[in-house]
Amino acid sequence: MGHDFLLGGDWILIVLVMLGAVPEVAASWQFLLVAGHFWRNDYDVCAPVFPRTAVLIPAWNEAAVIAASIDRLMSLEYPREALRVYLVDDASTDETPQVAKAKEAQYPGSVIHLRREKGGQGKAHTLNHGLAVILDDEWMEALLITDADVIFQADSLRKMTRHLADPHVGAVTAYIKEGSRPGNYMTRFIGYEYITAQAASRRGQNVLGATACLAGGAQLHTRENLLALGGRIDTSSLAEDTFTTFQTQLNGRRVVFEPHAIVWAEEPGSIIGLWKQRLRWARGNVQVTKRYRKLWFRPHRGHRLGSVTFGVFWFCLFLQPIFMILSSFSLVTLYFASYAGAWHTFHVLWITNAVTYFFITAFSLLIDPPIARHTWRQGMMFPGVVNLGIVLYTCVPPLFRDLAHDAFAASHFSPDHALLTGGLLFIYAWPAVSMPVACLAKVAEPRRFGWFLSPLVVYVVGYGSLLCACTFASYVKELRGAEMKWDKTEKTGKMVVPT
Amino acid sequence: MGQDREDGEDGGPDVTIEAVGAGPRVVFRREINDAVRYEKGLFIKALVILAILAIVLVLRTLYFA
Repeated sequence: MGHDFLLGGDWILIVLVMLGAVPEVAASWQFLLVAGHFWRNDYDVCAPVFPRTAVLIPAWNEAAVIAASIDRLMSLEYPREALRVYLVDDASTDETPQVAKAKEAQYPGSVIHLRREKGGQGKAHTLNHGLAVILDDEWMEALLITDADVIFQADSLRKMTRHLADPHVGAVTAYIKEGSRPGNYMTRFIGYEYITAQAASRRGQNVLGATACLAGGAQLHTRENLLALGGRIDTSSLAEDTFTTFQTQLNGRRVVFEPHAIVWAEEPGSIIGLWKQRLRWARGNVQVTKRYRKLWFRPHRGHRLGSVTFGVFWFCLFLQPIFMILSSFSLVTLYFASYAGAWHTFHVLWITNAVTYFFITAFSLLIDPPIARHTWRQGMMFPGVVNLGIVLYTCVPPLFRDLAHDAFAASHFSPDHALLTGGLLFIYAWPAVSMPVACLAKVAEPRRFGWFLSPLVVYVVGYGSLLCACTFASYVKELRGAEMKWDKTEKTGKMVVPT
Repeated sequence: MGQDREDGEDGGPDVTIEAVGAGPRVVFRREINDAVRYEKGLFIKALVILAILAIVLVLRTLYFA
């Protein structure tokens, strides 16, 4: 069992174990910044401005959704003469061209259909095709880049453009909400995730003065910002929106998140769909991290991307799987070096996790109550049944001891030492083990009883572990230099959006 | 306010700011006030959660440690 006092090496292990709590603590810090958004925001420099805005929509086989999207854009509370929609059809093989032509005829002069005969090169290439046409004309003062399935609430665009009254602002992004109704367990997990990743994180980034990413489905740029970016979108990565966001800030312009400009999008309803989408995003983040390697943790007068706080936020998300693996491995090692040391460290780690879980979950649900009413179960279950069990155990150990005692007494079963040791080591290793287990949900989904097994596994291991597994897979893909494939998320048009 | 981005070079906005009527300005002001009020509400919510968390931690330390 090892000795019960700590040596120098044990302290190193304890520090490594506590690394497992760092991403959650950093996330809590970001949530605390949210509380400061009432004080540090851009509303005092806003004005009711309505620049001539071109809306750029890249579309490949979007016949199911594009008509509704254009109709919603045309009914925005925005001067019609100051709004044009450019639909770039990336060599679609479905009815997208016909739908686009019909909308062009319905809204003459306001909807323009552009067609690429040779497509399939990815979203950035499609955007650049449209950008070349739009920038060629002096008419455009602001450009809204969106996706074919995204539905804008009537007041969303003018709530975004009001920030362009500030000459320091180069781009504005909106709050994207998941709009599938009734949806399924997966779209609800994503709906909750977007409260944390957008409504909360991006408010925090507003306060910090550094934004990680303009939402791909709702990014508004000034013409000057686009020209400073070279008049084109980066095509060398899978995260063109993050590159654009970083470059905008490196050029000395600010990027603002407007939480009250709301747009709705249909997100994947299956693990396989989610995996494709998140693998693309995570690989893009690996590429951004490498491309801007000289930026991190180097404070700069012109922007806040190099600040320590922003670096911590970025790397806590980027390296979360590594933190989890290191933490679990160190705790198991510590168990063999110092049983008591491991036990106490385990408690400190998980009480920290419990505190951050409670704070983040409760605050997330209160940040966006309408979405919370739809997704609160998934919000509570975000860490998974096993992690919640460990949290409860570390918070109220006597309760669990009594329950276990009663259960064993009732079943006339007395666990031996080997079983208890195995159980304890399993719990110590769980944060790392949960990632490969989460992959089982993806494996099970298309198989027999997948409709039942796959959600079951996600609820047991947690949606967070599933995302970590995906991030880990992105490391592997990048290390192997796998082909950059643009796996499009399938859209069905089954969104119900409040009017 | 300026016209057609000309102000951009001397620190003005990069977009056209046309004179808007009193109606849009009233709506704009109301929406800004609503937004700031919502953000202040988030500050209060965060404080309430932190207070509850502190109470739970004290109770846990006293009765369930």
